[in-house]
Amino acid sequence: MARERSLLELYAQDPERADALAFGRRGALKGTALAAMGAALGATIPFAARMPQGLLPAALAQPAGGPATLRMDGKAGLILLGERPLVAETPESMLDDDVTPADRFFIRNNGGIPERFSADPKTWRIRIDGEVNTPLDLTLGELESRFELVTLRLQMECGGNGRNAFVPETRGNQWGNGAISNGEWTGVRLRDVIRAAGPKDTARFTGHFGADPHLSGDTSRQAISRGMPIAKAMEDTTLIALRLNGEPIPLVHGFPVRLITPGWPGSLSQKWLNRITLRATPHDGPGMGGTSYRVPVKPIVPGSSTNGADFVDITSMPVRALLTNMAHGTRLPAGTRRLDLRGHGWAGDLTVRAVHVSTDFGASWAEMRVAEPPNRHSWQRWQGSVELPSDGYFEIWTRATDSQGRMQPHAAPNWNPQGYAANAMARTAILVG
Amino acid sequence: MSLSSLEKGAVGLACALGLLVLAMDVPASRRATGPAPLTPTPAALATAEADSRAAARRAEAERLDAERAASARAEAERLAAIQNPRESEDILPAGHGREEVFARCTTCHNTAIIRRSGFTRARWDELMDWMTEKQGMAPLEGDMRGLVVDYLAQHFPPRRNPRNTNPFLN
Ligand code: HEC
Repeated sequence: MARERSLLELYAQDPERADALAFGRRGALKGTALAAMGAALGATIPFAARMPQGLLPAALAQPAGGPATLRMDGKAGLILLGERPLVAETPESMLDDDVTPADRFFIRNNGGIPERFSADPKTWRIRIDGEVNTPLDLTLGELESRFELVTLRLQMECGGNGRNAFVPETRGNQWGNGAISNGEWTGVRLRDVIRAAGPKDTARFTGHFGADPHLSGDTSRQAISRGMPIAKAMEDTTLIALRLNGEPIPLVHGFPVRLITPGWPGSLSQKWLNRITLRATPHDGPGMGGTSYRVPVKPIVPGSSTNGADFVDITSMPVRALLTNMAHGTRLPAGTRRLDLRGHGWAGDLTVRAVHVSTDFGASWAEMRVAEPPNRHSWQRWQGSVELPSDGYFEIWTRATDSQGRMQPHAAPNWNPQGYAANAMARTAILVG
Repeated sequence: MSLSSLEKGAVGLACALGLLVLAMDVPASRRATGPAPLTPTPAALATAEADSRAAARRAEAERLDAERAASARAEAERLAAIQNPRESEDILPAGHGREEVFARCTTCHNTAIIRRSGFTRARWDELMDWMTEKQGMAPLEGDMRGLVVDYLAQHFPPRRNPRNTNPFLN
């Protein structure tokens, strides 16, 4: 017993050393270390011999003392990552619906939540200005009557989704894989509105502004204000969104209006939107430049310091899949041998070509069926089944491949100081018996 | 004030009805005595009715506005409560500098953002400049900076996977 406890404690205090102690040279758990780890987990690890070095069993990777749960009107019990600014993640098992219900949307605020616009929402105004011939100042009522309304299922994912897989840990909210949503958004195409304003040739980038106050309360500062190249703004899936799943957008998600820029970091989907400016040069608001939403072109040593001057802005988010019908930590009856699995996959501007599942630490992979997306930039449903050889502790590893053949890696790639675009494959620990 | 305009509407409506009654139901016996009562024209009657309807509509709209504003304020208060959890200094680990860190670092955000972090001393030190340059924190200098950064580096060093519970152990 003493040995199990000390191994666990070692993992909590000094994972590197514990890893080195517990894993043999060829990356396999051996002898007493295997017994200790199995005992610590309360189960045998049938595929221990194939566990790669440096990867903790998923069930051991987190210290005890569970995360706090969000308690908020209109929201499900999300994983509370921080109160001020309010940030909460959706557990993967709550993401099983094809269309994410509003109460299950993850929350990422950079500033405060503005008080609800209590006048008629149709009177909220949005300005389109900058490098345009005819600046516009439109109410939402005018926006809705002048431009075609479209309804699309669109992924919206935080640029930092998956961040807690980075080693060493980076700055930023330590998201698991649940900073993703796929709502049914109704709105007008940003493209149509920009065209109505008559963009000049110099209109090459956007800058977005919203009504959320900076955390300091300083009204001359913005909580966040990002922008994108004009080509992304002109895509027919980039929306000025007025409704989510047929209802007014919930306040915490941007009521009465927000941008939805699917497939790119969620920070480009400005909430409480009140202005879009067109620019000749990349936008310079808070959240732009340096190491913000930017990644190295030339990979850097994990943990090293850099000002990000030669980094590039993240554009399309990388491929990822989630298992959504079996929660991390599910305990199944003894004798369970077949698992029917399903989830979603998405790949930023691309699509998902394949999803594979492994229950033996990647030694073998079973191909799942992947459905076409209902529209561009929606996530895709995958499903299939796998067989287990015995009772015991298993991890279900879920790996998607995008339409250009790129797969999710085992470890979070391209370490960067603020921890973006970590698309390590998902690992779900289950216990049979 | 919405009540008084509602009242005005009601008074207007009562007057209009009164006039209508007068116009329609004048006893023959009264005709002989005194000057003939003023009979409102149909147009005047219609105007009075329209006015009173408009007043009632305005009152209703004002009532709804007030109701929406009140519920927006109530919602903002509920959200403020979520965003401002009661924290006291002892939410941070005891140590030299805790008081200063708690005082200086919780004006904009709460401590969750600090407690979730684990950095080397150099990274904590860099973050102080970022907070000043990008977020408007008063510059931290000299002994105070040393005290704050030492505390943070000692109590929030790099870790791994600082989240979630082990589903099979407790
Ligand atoms: C003037 C306001 C202000 C003060 C004072 C302040 N901060 Fe911050 N801090 C911010 C803002 C704004 C953010 C960004 C929040 C976000 O985007 O989620 C932030 C973010 C952080 C982060 C997260 C950084 C990351 O990228 O992960 C840490 C850690 C932090 N602050 C620590 C501190 C400490 C320690 C102090 C006291 C020495 C402090 N802050 C004082 C405004 C402030």
